[in-house]
Amino acid sequence: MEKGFYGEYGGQFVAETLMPALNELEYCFEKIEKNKQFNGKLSHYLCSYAGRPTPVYYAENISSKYKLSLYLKREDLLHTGAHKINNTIGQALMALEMGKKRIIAETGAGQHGVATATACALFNLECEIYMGKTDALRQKVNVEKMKMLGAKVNIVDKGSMTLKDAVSSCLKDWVANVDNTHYLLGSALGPHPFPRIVGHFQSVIGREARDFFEEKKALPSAVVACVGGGSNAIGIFKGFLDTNTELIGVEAGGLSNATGAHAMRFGAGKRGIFQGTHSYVIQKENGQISPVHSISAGLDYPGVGPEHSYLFDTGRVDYDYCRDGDAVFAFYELTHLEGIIPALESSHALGYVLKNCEKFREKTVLVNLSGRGDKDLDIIREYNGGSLV
Amino acid sequence: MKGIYMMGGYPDIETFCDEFIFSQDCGLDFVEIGLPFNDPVADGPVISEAGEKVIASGVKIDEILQCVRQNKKTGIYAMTYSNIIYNYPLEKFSESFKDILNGVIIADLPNRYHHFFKDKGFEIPIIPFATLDTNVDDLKNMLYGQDFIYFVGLKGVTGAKAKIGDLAAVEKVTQIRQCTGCKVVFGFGIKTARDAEKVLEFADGFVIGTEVVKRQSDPAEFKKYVAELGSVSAQ
Ligand SMILES: Cc1ncc(COP(=O)(O)O)c(C=O)c1O
Repeated sequence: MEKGFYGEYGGQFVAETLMPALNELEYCFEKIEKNKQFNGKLSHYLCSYAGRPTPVYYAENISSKYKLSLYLKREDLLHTGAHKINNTIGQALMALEMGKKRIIAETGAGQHGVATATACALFNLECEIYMGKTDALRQKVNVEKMKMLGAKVNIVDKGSMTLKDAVSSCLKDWVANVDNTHYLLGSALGPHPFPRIVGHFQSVIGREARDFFEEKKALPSAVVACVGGGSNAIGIFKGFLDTNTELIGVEAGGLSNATGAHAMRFGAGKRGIFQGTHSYVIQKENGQISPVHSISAGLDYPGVGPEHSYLFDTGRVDYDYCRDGDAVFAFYELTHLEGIIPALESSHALGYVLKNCEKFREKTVLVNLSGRGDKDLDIIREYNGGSLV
Repeated sequence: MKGIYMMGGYPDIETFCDEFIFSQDCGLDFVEIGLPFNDPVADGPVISEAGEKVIASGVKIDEILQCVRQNKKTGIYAMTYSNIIYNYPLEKFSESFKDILNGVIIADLPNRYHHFFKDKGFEIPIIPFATLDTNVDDLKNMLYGQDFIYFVGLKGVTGAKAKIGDLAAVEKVTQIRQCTGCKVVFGFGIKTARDAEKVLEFADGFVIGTEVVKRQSDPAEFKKYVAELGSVSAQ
């Protein structure tokens, strides 16, 4: 396979002026990937600061109601409330290695923005976050948190004012400030080596989950994760790629199959080149990027990480969808039945399982609970027409 | 080589066509035609917003290049983003426009990935980029008879201002010209005819984009400015 590609997907479709920064990043990653000292430091912060390892919880009440064995990988219990911190601590340590003192990052739901601002506070790095205006309005609390943590938050009012436009703004900032700035990309997206780096730092999720089931001497029948850019999904899948466990990535089905009403890259997209990578993209016939929708700001993105496109083509992973309403239903089910308030992103993975519970009858299913849901209360309230209960 | 960048189909197809015809007869050597993309990561606000307007108006690539086909007298280069060509699709873009395009300039296709297009049957010459960081030997390996090398004069998006005559840039351009024997056109960050004159002291050519696009909505202003650029000569 060509370097930087997963099959035919991936590559570095960026301005020539960014190539030295990508080369430097690749060089740094190859140096640290298997470096004992670096990994020692990383694991120190992941354990004593972020809260790893996270438990795998058997969701007994949901299991008995839906007649399956549901396990949850509890990334929601991590510091800052989502899997994003696994990657931000890793990349912030890389920025220190490279001597870059300024960090920029995009954010959709705000979870990656908060996790980046947190790592920057910890390691004393200057931090600027780009966030679409639509997302900033629907994830207000996270905007406040980022500011408190010392980050400058730039609200992007271009295009669809969501994650796509935040990524574009980061790429533009990076190209102008590349000498002193590291772009801390938040998902397994963008130009090589980002998909590889982010996948690597998130693979700890799959490793821990695999260990849990190895100890039980029975692997799950299926592992299910939501797919925004694809980082929590690739992280947990990596623990099971070499097994017979069925792997299912769940995209945002939004409101319907109409253009602009969902974010199903595999369901409705085609191959394209978008924000640095060759992958599946939701686009019009003429190559313009289509508008997308999801109730969840973290899944609301027209592109997807290239490794997922490869896994889709090879058939190793199935990609399916969960509609807004089914995600909200799952959000409440988990809250009521287990006392866990999940992120709306993670609620898509769960919503898919509940909706298709017949398919999983009497089977063991592991869902990646990528984050917690406090950030989503405003969205849910609005969705319900003003009330939460 | 004196050149301008125009956003294709902006502010509307008729005005664009009228201005394009003018550009073909005022002393310029080439014109780059922007084919808009709605995620223009290499462009500043002026070119991004012009592109958004063209997309919103529904003008198609074919209409833009039809006007070019009928009136072309200078060198013509399409400047766009990978996905626009990739999804035309690629082979069809190549087949349809290789007779009128002297090359393409693809903002998000770095030199290392030209093969991604060429291996899929793309026959139009892809203009290589050079920057202050370019390794000249790598660059040499990219050349297969393209008309020029596009030197990106600044780190940043279109519309920012470059320091023209910056020593490092002059030295790099000189080195590239000597080692490759290929013409070097300086783009990004040039604002005035005076800047353009200065560029011609060390490079083979210049191209001005944002300042041209700003004037496309006012044909009189456009023609005055572009005529001035057409008459620039090295001091
Ligand atoms: C809790 C949570 N899960 C999932 C995602 C989706 O991103 P990814 O697909 O990279 O895991 C996000 C993104 O913001 C998130 O906050």
